[in-house]
Amino acid sequence: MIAERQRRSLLWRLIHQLGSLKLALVLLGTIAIAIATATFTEAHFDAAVARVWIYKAPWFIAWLGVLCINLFAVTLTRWPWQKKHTGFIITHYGIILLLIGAVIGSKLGFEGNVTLRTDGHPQRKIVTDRSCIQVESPSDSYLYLMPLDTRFLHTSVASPKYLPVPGTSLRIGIEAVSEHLSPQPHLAPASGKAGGSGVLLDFSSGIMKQTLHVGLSTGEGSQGTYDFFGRAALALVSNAKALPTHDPNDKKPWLDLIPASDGKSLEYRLGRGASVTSSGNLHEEDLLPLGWADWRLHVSQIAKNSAVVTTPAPDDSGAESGVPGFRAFLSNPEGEKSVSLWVASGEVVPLVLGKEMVRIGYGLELRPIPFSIALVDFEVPRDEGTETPSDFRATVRFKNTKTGSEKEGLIRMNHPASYPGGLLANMTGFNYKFSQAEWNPRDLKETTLQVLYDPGWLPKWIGSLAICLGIATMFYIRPRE
Amino acid sequence: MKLSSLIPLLIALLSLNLTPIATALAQVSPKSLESLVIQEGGRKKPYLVFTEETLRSLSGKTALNLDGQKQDAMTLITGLWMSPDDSWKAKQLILVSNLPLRKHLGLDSAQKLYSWNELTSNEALAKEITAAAETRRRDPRAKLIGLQKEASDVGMRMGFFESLLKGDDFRIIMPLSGSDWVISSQIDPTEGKEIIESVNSMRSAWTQHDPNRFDQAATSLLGLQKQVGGLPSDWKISLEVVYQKAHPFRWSWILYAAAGIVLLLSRNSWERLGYHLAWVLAGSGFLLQAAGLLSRVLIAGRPPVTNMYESVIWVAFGTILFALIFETIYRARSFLLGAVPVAVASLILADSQPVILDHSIHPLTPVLRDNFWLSTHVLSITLSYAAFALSLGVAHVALAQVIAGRKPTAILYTYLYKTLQVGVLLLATGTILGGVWANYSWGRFWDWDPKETWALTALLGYLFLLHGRISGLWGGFGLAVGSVIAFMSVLMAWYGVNFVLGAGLHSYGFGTGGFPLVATFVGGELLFVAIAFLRKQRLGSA
Repeated sequence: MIAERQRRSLLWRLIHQLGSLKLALVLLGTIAIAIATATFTEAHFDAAVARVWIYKAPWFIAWLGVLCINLFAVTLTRWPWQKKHTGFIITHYGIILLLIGAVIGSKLGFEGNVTLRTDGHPQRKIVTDRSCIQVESPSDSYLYLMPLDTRFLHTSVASPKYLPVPGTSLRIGIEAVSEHLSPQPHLAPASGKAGGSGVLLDFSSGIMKQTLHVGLSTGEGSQGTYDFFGRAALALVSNAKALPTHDPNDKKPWLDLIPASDGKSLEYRLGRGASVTSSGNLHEEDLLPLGWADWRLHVSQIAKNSAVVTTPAPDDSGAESGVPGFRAFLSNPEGEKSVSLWVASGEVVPLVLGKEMVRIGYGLELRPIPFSIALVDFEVPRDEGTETPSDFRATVRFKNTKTGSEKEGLIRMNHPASYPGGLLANMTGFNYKFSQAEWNPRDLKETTLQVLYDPGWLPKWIGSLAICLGIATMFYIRPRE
Repeated sequence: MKLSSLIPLLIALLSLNLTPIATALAQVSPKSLESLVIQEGGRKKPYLVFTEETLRSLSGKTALNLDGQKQDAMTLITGLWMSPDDSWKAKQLILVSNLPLRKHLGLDSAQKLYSWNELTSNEALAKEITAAAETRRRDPRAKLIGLQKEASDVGMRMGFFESLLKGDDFRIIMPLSGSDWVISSQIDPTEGKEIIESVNSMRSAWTQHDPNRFDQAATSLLGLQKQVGGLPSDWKISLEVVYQKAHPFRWSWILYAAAGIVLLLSRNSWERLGYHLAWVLAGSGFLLQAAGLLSRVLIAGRPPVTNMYESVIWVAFGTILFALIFETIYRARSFLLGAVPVAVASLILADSQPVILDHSIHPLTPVLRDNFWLSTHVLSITLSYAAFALSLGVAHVALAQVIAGRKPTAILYTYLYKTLQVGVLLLATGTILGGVWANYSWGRFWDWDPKETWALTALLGYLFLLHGRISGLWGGFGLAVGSVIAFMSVLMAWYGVNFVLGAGLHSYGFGTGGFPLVATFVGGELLFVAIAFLRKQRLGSA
């Protein structure tokens, strides 16, 4: 009969092709290989790389779509269904349902986290795991959010990535990205009391694989001294009379600097305790071994009438610290460009081009929730005789922002609290679920909760159940002939 | 029937094979202390267990040759407690297990145990430990790798030795307030006068080699500990002492191995008798293993699948369980024959690698403390590994026949298919249950975490194998070859994710965590399959 209908109908032929075991084998094999490869990528690079290249890549999602078609078509090929097909059909539809649930969850639901303090304010926003650029449009002062992840942005000065500024003809050009932005000192021209003699110094150590940038200025409002990891002291003073006095009993080394009046050189004194071990003059680009392990000083800039300001810049110190961000400029249709500035995660930077100003920010997207959550109490019970946590217990208070009604919940490990809660909300997933995510061992007034809102929950559940029951039926329940 | 009513039976069963403890040469035997309760590592345990765990974490062993005589953990650790003088610092007690580290430190590559004095004077070691501490200081979550990790492990053992010598770990008394137990010197002298006296009397009896006085003082200390209270129930302590001494899993593998040998050797007219004898032997081993697992469940109060050691034992148990069930139905021999090598190898591995596979019972991390999810999700996943291990065994039986030049019967391949079905059902269920647990407990259903991903990869691999068989793309031989190859994905999900991927790039070279062992196994299996393949082709063309 099957051969007969394939011969007669093109549609049936197509269904049998789409539902073929050969296609199933190709799908199973390629998906298995792809995800196995992804785990190695993840171990060697970064979980996010595997995510973008494989798990969340369009081709992978499309492949899962083909899998769904294959699963659906194969059940049609068994038409007309008989009792013996029960397990087979339940299993294959179960997988489809599970995947549909996953799609609904990822499109309509979201995941995020919220950090609460027992002495803090109730929270009404959730931090999601999606990075966004925020653009305040000068046309309507409205804040526009656009997804942007610097980790996967391919951009350069030669070919920047352009984003439109909504409501205007302006564009934002992103010409560089960095995962390690940190505040770096610069010398900026300053007049009056704020402007003093300024120096920009680089300290580097080969052993520690570290570089440290220090800006000092004698101007008011800038720092003139620097504590070098608590191991040494730096000071920049306007004249020899202002030099700090050194305690002879304190064996900590020190470096004192006095700018020359020409604004082009520095007099330096290197010492330990009360004694001066070396002294001399330094000019821009001079190198000076300090005798503090292998630390060396490089004079990168000397300037008069300047103040020290810090702006975010890529951290070349060798420490993998700092926050992600990008360098952007504003451009107009005439091809004019603004100065480009670094925008670090969590900061708002104004870009100015002519009369136009656009404020942009970068960071994780915040999502408002229709209620507030406050931390009433947080406890960390320990295993007997140790400091190892045995559980985390957060008591929270939910408050409906419209009706003002309140509800308390207890979040324990493996026992989340949910809002609005109740059987229906929990079953369907139209529900905000809060579970313990992170804690701060040094501050027990604070806890971070994972938040999940997942409308795909029901199809996922039913699909899961169907897969298990279906396989069991297929393998172990034989219908009576 | 209440679970606790099983205890006397369990104790009786385990007591059948108590091994004598070698304390012959010690003048004072600390045996009277074995049931003393001590608080350590987040729980209360018998002193016997404490000493064996302590010596194992110091030296990787539970008995040592010291000063020309073999000393068991009880004698050695009690010696440290009773007479903590500086002579201990010169005794070779501390394990430096990693060969590259020993070479780096300029130590004898054949010697694994070193004294505290030897290690503290080793400058290269101090340098590595400082570097490790610096890495940790910069980023408390940093995972140490290579020499730094190994050195830091040695540093931890040295620290443990120091705290033992100071007596800090012998916490035997519940204080009037609080849940942290104290050592005898921290007891209020007016309230705990008798306890302090007992310990002092034990000390002097120990140093003066007076066994009777030692036993008296020890008995009195045990009585006083009961008076103060806060102890686990008596049966729990007795059960743990018996469990610790009995080594039920060691006896299980011996019985399984015997069953396998009987099965292999019994031919012709002996076949029936041999089969029955094998059943009895395997059944006894199985009961003993069940008793051992039940003991762990009762002691820890949770399913016995919470670390690599337990899961290896559990998978061996599951393999025999499925084999016995199938044997009950089909009386085929091949299930048992396939299961025995797998179970024996796993149990020997678990018994012989205490540094990699930790025997001790620890409190769980909070996220795992849920017996419902542990018993549904983890038990079904590990049972699926067991079913696949059985299919590996049955596949070996078939492939061995091919190599021997015989054609395996069609029914053998049907049996193989049936074991694969069990595995697929359990792995699918277990993986999905994992998703449901994750979704319920902390958000997302599926996040492509390596453990999840490899469970899915293994499942897809086996589905590939079964679908290919249904479509007729391969026959029974292909199914057997596939069962062996697909098991490598189970190994990856089970062992690889935790020990290879988790440890990162560098752990291969250093050979910690049993990687060479697993790699050899994988290589051996692939070679076996290749030989079977070549042999099959020659047979086919002949």
